[in-house]
Amino acid sequence: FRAKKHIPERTHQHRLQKYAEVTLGSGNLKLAVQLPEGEDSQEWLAVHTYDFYNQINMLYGIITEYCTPQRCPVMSAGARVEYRWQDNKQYKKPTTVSAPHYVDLLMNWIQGQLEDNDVFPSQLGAPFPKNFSSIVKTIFKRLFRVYAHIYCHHLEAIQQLNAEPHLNTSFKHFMYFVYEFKLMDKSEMQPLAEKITNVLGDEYVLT
Amino acid sequence: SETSEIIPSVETVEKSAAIKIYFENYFYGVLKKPSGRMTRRLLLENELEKMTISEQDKQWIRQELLDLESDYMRLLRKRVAISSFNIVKTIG
Ligand SMILES: [Zn+2]
Repeated sequence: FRAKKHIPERTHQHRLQKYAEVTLGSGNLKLAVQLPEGEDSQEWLAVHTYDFYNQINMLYGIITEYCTPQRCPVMSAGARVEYRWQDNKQYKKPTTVSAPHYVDLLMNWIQGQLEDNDVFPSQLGAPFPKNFSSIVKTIFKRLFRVYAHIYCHHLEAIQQLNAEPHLNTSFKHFMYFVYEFKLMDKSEMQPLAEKITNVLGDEYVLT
Repeated sequence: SETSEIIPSVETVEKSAAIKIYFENYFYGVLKKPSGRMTRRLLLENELEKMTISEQDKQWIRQELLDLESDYMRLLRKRVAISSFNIVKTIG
């Protein structure tokens, strides 16, 4: 992403609450993401990649009436962060597209990866590709952007639908997983720095 | 603000109700103690206790269970792929 310049410091951050966020259940998600003893880490990454794709697909699915090309003409995370799409196919250079279009391109790209048997083998015993971990990292980096857009621009809609605990729990699960397997750079997490601390706990501070 | 002026459609309300149930169910499974995996391991250990076979054979059987767990995740992945693409389609 690129940081937009010359825009006043009036970001989403101010609206984010300064207390622990409400989530579902009381179990320990931090423990739940850990690789079970004796399990193959790629298999564990693969099944979670599916789960998170699925979760974000559903969460974004409930705000499509709010996230329209008119209301969200650019894919952003707050006033200062704009994401531009590039896929080296139709979009050879980073291109500004509306948020719904961006999310559509992003989710289709991920779906394509998930359905590619060379990347996510579905036959028992078939191996994962050598570049599996780099593909997974790209997927997580992109999925994060959808959370970022929802939190920064559609939190009210989520609240209106009483789905905030669901969003928070999903995001918490996602971020613990990201930390456990070092799937993202801290710089990519900046748009939700404060949210990460509120949802995961005080020891998760981005500096 | 602008958002509060939007009244969600019946479809959105229904879709979000269904999706919230999915999440509640999903996280119940994730957070459940003991986990399904742990339960299966304990059942196996109980069985192994009763068997009069060598420790090496027991180790081999434990590895079999681990392999089955991996296979199970792969099958789960296949099923999730199909169901997730349909859920949003059917409800929305
Ligand atoms: Zn939007």
